[in-house]
Amino acid sequence: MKRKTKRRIRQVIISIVIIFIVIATLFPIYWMLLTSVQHKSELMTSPPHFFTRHPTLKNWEFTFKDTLPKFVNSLVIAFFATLIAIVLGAMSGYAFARYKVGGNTLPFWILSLKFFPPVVAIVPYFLMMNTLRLIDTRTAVIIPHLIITVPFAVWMIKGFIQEVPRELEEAAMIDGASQLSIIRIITLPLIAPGLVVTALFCFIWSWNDFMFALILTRNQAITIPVAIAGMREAHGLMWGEVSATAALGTVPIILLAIVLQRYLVRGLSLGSIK
Amino acid sequence: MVGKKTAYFLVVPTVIVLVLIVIFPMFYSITVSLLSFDIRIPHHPFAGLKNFIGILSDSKFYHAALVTGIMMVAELVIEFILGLGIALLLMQIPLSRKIYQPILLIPMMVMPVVVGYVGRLLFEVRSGPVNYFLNVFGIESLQWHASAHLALITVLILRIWRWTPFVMATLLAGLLSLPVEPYESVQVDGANARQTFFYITLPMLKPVITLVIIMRALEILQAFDIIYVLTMGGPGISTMPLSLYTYLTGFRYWDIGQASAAAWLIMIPLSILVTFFVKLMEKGEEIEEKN
Repeated sequence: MKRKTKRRIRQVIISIVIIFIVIATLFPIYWMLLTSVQHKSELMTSPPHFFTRHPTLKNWEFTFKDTLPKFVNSLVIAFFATLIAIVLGAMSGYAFARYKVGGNTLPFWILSLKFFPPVVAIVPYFLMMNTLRLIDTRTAVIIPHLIITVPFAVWMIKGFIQEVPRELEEAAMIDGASQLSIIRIITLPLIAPGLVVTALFCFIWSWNDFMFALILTRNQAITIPVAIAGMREAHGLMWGEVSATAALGTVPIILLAIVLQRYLVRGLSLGSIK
Repeated sequence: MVGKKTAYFLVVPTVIVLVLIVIFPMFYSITVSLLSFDIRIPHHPFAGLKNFIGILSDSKFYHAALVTGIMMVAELVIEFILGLGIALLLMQIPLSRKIYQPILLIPMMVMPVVVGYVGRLLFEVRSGPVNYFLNVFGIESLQWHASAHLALITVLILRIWRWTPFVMATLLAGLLSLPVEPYESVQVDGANARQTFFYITLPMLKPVITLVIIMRALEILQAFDIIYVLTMGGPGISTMPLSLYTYLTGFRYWDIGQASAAAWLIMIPLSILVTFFVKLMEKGEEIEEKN
């Protein structure tokens, strides 16, 4: 009996600590959302307002008008950076998983490219895009984003295909199905969830990238992160408006992350921890 | 099945794309680092190692390396302890883990630029909630990112907020995948919780821990976004890490050659870490194949 109460107390203490951590985790996001719906009169006051009495959508209105083109830029860039990665990833992922093309060397070489640091890439990319007169176009941002998405997609899809038992494909082959139809009917449906997960991750990487977009855009092709960083300089006091833009850039990704939850660790550790 | 020849063709497009987008820029960058590069004129004379010497004799570069070094040590230690601690706490309450875990993962999906911006709101000197809470507890308001001593700490707090969930989630996945047999046998031997943790859990978790630390180190080495928005390296150069130093050299002072040289100096520790990482992954793959 005594042991049971002791255990109970321990559980309660642990729960309290965890609730405290949850609050610390969520508070910054709450603060951003709160700021985005506050009226100017409630912002930057001392003491701060922890709740709002008169929520307003004025900041959001501004955001939708002002940042819509940037939102579209982010979407288009992330979409193409993802699409290209998935197509290339599916092709080479299949070859690596089933035929061991290039042995271990080639896939691991591709994996190591995932870590090619943007800070090394920005100078050559700026010069190249400058020469090609592509600065401030979406294409200029999509291309370096492939450094992040392609190696990741190859590696993830290779892992997902390896999980499909080879025997399934072999059985279909005995039944006389052609290779292409085997891939279409058996392999693809089985790795479809894996492809979706990989695509969502690629999308998030591209969406959240700041450095490439910062260097390769001016005003036409600006993405959401660059817009947020720029608003800081242009309008130092527009806290409400910047918060609404920040929320617009963040909330969809958080929702995606909740969908991805089960695969989050796998994606973030490049498939090394499943 | 398709012949192996066809399989090679499936890989070719990826390899071509990667050579074009990674290998070519890499060599271009090395070339630029050896030139005296002035963006306004078309001809760039060969400069030998002048850019590297320029960087290595710039005291700001050493300060930036120091800032990156401090961030590396502080973040790895704190994020690891916090991450492991929270993971172990969540192990204790399996039922509520399903509710708490997704919430605790949210920070790592927040755009780093937004983290920096929210940091400006939270640590605002006069009206930020952080100073408000300090006042409630009778502590005077601090200058946070506006002060030379506290700016780096403010950056670290935000970065730890954003990255601890990654460490926690990875270690938790590792903990959950550990086999139960060793635990059963030490229970028979009458080991206490502490002994079990240090002699069973930690050693078995070692591969995952190594992986997490390498991945974190790779990211810390490139820390940029949050600092760009929060302090832009200031006050003075107190929060300027290597990547921001490189960026400013290239795109504020337009010394493209020196920026390339600085980038390649960052590449040295980075490639060592990547080599370790790839070796580790290769090992993991081999073990998997044997099973």
